[in-house]
Amino acid sequence: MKKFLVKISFTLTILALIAYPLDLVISCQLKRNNSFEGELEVWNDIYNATNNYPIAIYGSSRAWIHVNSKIIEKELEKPTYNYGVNGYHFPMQYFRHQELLRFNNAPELIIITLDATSFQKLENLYNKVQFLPFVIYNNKMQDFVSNYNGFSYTDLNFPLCRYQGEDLVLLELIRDLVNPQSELRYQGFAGKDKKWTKDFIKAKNEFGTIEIVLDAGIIELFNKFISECKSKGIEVVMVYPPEYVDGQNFVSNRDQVINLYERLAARNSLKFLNYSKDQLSYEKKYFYNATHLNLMGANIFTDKLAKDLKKTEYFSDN
Amino acid sequence: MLFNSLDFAIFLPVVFVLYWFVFNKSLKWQNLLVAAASYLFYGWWDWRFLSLILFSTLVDYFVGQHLGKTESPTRRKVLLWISILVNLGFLGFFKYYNFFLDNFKSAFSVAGYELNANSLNIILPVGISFYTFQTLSYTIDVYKKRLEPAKNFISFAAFVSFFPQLVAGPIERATNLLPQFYRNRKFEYSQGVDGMRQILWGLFKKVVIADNCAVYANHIFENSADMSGSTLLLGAVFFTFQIYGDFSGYSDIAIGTARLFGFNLMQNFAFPYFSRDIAEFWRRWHISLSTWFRDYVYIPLGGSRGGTWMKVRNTFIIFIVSGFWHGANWTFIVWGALNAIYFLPLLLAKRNRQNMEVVAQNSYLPSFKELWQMSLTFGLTVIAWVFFRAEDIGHAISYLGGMFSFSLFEFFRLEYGELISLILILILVIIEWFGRENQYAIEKVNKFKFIYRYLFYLSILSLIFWFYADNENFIYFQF
Repeated sequence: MKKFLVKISFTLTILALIAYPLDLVISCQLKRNNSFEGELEVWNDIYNATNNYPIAIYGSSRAWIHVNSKIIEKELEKPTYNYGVNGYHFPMQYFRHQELLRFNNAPELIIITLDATSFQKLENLYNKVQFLPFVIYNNKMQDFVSNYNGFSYTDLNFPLCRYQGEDLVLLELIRDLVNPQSELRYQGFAGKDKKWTKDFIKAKNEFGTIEIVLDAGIIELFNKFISECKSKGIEVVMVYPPEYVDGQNFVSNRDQVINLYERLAARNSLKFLNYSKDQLSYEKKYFYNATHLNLMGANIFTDKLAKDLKKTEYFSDN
Repeated sequence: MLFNSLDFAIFLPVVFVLYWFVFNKSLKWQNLLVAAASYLFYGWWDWRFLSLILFSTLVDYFVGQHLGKTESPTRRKVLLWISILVNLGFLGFFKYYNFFLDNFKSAFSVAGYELNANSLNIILPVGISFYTFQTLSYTIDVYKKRLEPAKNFISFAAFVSFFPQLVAGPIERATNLLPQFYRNRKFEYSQGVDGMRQILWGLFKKVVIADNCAVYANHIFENSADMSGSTLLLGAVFFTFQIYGDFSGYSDIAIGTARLFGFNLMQNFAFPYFSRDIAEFWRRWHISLSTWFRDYVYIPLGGSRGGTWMKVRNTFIIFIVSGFWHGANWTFIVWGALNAIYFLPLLLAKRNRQNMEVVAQNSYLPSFKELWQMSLTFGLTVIAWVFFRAEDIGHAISYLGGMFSFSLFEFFRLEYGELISLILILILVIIEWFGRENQYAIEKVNKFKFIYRYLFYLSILSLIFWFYADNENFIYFQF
């Protein structure tokens, strides 16, 4: 019996000893990967504590696809980084903001892009691969992602478990070893050089119209974010980027949502740059779907945004 | 409680420690622990059905005791029939009531009468077909005086409910398992390691092979009307390996677990897909059930003695009853009958016992003749499994009709997951081929050098880890 138990313990110890370093190796290799919408690049830049940019752009895909950091940088003559996180609502953007402040200098100006779903609750993690290399080594991220469906207790607490069955990650790691690829994003921005796709028609056929349920807790969190920024001397500008006109009635209470943003801006004395009815919204050639500008549209929009930002108090004072 | 669950991963070491370190001083206490752990194991699924096992155990225990005390043939017969009626009564009610009712209603309807009886919403207790047959084997063997009545109730209760094989076999004979509860058990290192190894292999077959094949087999069978013949063939092959991985995997885990507690269970699968004819297949597939039917149904019916008609009749009875044992659906009956049809030519030509030894013994590869025989037998089995898996007879016929159409030769692009599943099947077949002379495929891995042995275990563990999904039940739980 003694020999049996010793062997079992030995085997389990070997497994545990292999599991931790292997987890570390996989995580380190995955961090270098530029797929998965380039989110890993942004997390790396944050955690490597190299991101001391005075201008920061926050938001969802309507930030990282729409606001070209290079154009803002050139126009406003200040280094700029785009922290847009694909597919997420404001709480995830706020979490990224907190992590940014934890490891880097605070920005001077935050341009926060909003969309119809920014204040809507989200239950499932989207593109959870972006958290894989960090999550068991970062308690804050672990706590935050556990608010969503996507990781089990064992995933978050034991090595390798979260990689189980992730075939795509495995293939990406192998591809990366054979053929490493260059970065997808430039200081967080990656425009999409795409023509109009049928994404929107597909969504419309599937859902008809949708009604956004605004979450009081998220609105409160947003107010908290604004007051924290004010206390730290960070200027915040709210932006609503253009949406293609045919898609504007996809969200049945879109006007109600935009009204809320206007009220929030007024209450907090913030500048709200609303491009929801901008001329760009009528030009299909600038979009690849109803809510996303293509590269050409994004560059024109960013140029316009930069010029409008220049007129704000922040730039006239500085 | 499923073998491939976290619950079992906690349950097993706890019971193991209690068994060998706390209750090891007394055989009675060890048996009591086995019985209690088995009831917990079963009650984890649905505690209400514990009363069913307990009642069955009480009836058979007292029948056994009385059989031991009386020599009167009439009384003995009455006692035997009490046991048979109680056990088969439960099985009949829970498993077959609705089937018979629906078929009677249909038959009467054809004759112009309408029966006013409603189907009942009956939950089938997990493993009822297995433990019913196990406890029946006890009563019949005591009746036939092949076995002494159980010495005490605790040993008997532990025998009936023995958790490793309670819900999906192997269906143990009382003559093999019950005496093991009377003997002092001593932990043996080699037996323990062997048990762990067999558990590992069983998990591989279940988690890696069966659960992966299940995804594609389910998809293809559920959408068979839209699939080409070649895809349907692929679906049938996936199911063929799913059911093998699932059921033989369960048996391996059961046998391995029993070995950890010092018990030896019978081999249930002996590499059936390497069989050279259907008779050999049935000597290698679900051995505990086949031999149960042979000993308690086929031989009492006259077996292969008597004339040709008797042999044919008995063969059909045994295969059809075996099919019906699997479930209350005509698909299982046809599956059984089809196997009888496959078997019959061998029986009539007296060639049903020509392939008794392991294929290509002492050689690496089979001869062309053996390869052809194995392929043909495998092909016939794949066709039969279509009936086993189909929703109803119509579905099975349309599936086979689609499979044997011109589109059988149509090219199709394999999905990534399908390709992975085929690679995994290939790995299984290679390992099983090289281990086919043993009780289970990786039995002789302990002969490898330390480093190769651990690398092998690590590879199997990695595959289990990677493909583990906790959503697939064991197919045979429904029987």
